[in-house]
Amino acid sequence: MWQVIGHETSVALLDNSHKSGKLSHAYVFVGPPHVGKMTLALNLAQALNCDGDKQPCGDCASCQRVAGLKHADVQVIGLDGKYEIGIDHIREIGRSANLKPFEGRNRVFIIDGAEHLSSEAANCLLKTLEEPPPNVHLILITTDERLLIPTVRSRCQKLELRPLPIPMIERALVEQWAATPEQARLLARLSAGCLGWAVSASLDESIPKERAEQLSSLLQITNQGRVERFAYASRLSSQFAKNRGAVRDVLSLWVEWWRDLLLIKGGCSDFITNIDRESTLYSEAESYHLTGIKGFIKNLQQTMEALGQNANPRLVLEVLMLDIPKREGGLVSKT
Amino acid sequence: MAKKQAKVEKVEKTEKDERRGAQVYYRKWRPQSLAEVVGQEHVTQTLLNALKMGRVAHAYLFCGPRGTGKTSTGRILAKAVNCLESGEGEPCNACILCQATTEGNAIDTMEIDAASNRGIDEIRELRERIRFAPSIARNKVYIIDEVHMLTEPAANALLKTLEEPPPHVLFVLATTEPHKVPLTILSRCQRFDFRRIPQAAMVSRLAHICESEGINIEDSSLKLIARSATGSMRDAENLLEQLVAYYGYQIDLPQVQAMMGITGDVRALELAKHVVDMDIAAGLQTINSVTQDGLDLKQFNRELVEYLRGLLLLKAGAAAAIDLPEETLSEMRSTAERAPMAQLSKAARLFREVELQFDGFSPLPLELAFVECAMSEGKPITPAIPATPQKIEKTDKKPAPPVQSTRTEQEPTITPALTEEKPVKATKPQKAAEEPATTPEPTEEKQTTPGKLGETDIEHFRNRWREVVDATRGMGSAGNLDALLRSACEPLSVENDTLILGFYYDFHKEKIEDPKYRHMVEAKVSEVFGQPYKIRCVLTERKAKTRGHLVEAALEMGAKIIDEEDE
Repeated sequence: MWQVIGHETSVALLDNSHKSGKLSHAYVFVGPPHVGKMTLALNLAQALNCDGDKQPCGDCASCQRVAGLKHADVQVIGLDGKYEIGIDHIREIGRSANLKPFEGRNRVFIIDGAEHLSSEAANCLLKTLEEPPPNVHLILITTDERLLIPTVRSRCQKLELRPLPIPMIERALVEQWAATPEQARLLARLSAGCLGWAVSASLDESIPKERAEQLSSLLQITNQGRVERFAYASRLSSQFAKNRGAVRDVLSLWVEWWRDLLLIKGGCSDFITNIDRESTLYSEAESYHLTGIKGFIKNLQQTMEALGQNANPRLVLEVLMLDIPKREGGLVSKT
Repeated sequence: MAKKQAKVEKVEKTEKDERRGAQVYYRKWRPQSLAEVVGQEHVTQTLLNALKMGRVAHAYLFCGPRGTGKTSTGRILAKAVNCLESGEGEPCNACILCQATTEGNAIDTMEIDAASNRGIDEIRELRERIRFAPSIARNKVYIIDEVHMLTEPAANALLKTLEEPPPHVLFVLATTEPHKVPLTILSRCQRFDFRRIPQAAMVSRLAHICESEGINIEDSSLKLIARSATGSMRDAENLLEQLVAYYGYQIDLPQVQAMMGITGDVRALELAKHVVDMDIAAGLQTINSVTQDGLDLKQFNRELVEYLRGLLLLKAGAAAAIDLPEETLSEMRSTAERAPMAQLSKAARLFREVELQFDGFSPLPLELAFVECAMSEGKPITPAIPATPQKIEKTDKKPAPPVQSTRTEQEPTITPALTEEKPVKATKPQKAAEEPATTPEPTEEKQTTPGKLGETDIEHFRNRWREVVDATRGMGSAGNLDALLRSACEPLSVENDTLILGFYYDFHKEKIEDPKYRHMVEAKVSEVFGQPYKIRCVLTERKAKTRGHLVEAALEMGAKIIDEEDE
């Protein structure tokens, strides 16, 4: 039994290959964060070492150990807080790949975040990746395959894990993680098809709470004058120094919000994300032009890009605050 | 005794075969002789000749894109120079030495991964060992793969050995990135550039593999695989194997398309239609339903661009260049008729750019591009077909830019969701058109001479307006006529031989209307565009687009614009 939810094509492909003994020695799983890449990779590692009948059974000692990352022959290489995966890690793979499996049948190396491989590391991987010793399998996990060098890409079989359909996530949340239907409905939409995020959000109450806070401050800001906006920008930029991810999350929240406005304005309200604030969205949509909304989304994207390129965060955010489109009818208060 | 040995060998052989059977195709079907190397005749033929004449160089550099046969050729060369059977020409692949090399355990064929052993110490070690004679074979062959990853000291340490190795040594260096290899190394090797494998050669090789593997697949599917492999055999073999893993040994075209994410989805064509009709609601609906179905958005976008390109070609009258079935073509023809050329080219360009923006899985870039296409910027769109004589008559009576007529034609197709946008859009051109009626132009002459139709395209003027502005530099009483033209007005439209300039402020308009300046500008315009033109000045609203958001904000805070400059 494969424990991955969704991704039927990829699972079927792996299952077929596993049963017929034609698994490739190198796979690359491509997909957005939290979509289930690691789960699938561990599942494959389980299948390769499982002692049960219906591989991967998930119950046998070996499967349990793989799931707990305690299996001696299944190795996960990741960033570990560094900013790239260095050549030493990969040399280590090259060495231990030559050893016979210790407790299972196959050695499995999972490289999590393969786009972070340094160029030396990626090149160092090439020979092992092309012709590893028998019973060695490598699984590369990446969110963006364009960041892999072509020589690595061409040595692997690529499986693309796309975001899951929203109803599937909704169902899974209710059935397997005991979420309430409303909660599931909202989280499924917020997750943008990434089950992992939805699950962690359903278990961790602080995530939805923080989102609600951010949304209300967003709404507040659009109603306020420049002084408050600049104050907000400076708050956000001081946060940026400590935690880049947090600012990014706030901005993506904004993008989501304005995208909803765009969809409502465009007459396509079935696909909005923030369904818990539907009425606010409708009334907000009334007061903006489509041009303004579209323009602001572009500005948001530019801001995120600029932040990624180490622009002065405070300046960038202040400019963004100036970009907030004016409401029709001159609702914006002058200060 | 000999019999027993033979038996042992046989057992070993079956084990090896078994292992090979489980290997992925690109290892299993690695070419084992020069003849099998696909699409690199210029390399294989040269090597073959060199082998036959016994004039093998001591150092080769193979470079080329991934999956074109560099490492494979290196191994074949290693076998060929040591083969017990022939020793000249192709390896026999039957003798012990050939087999050992194939297995990768020949003592005298050293395959070094320069990316892992990239330091100077490893190269020094190699130099130490290289002096010893080969243990069994005639030659020692060093295959140094990924040679571009050698560190600089390591590469330099190799130089002397590479230039004058002992007589029994043959170097084969292989890399995908020859530009990273030091020139001093390049100049010491015979360099062979491997090319991307042509589609036909790849198809025939794939067909050969399929036949031996018992895979039933059509030629058209193989062509599709070959096309998406972009000249890399390994990519193609990988795809083929993935297909076999998923669909078994009977593969047909739709399955191949599905695997490649080619949707063949009617929705791509639908979306193209929505772009033409400017139907925002329906378009967003389409994009989101595609996302919901988990289709590959990148591929979907590619197909959309392909359709838009088709529409463009149809519009331009180059239908022969489109490679699409007849039904689709006839459907596209009716769409193409409705759409102005400018809109189609804009749409094609915008969606083409989407490709770069995809972070992967969010439909937002597509949505933005679509909204941008479907929403006109309030910029007057000129009809793709130059105004017909009939229209000129119409404009004579009521001097409205031809823009108006196209606008009203398209309006009924705009959905209710857009209605609030409409007044804004509609008023702008109108304002521009009505202005001359309210402020009579004493100097204005009704145009009677039919202008050159090809020259009436306003885009043409917009594009070259800059030249006019630059040409007026230093003219005028204060020598700043160019600054005025640059920042105070823009070409709005053109009627026969009259260029209509839109000014943002009455003050500037009056200034240029002064005959002294008007003649100057007219002279320059005529000079730049090569035929006499008159100008007419109207008032117009400045488009928000011409100003940055920062300027807007500054204006709101009470700033005044003193001067404006183009970037």
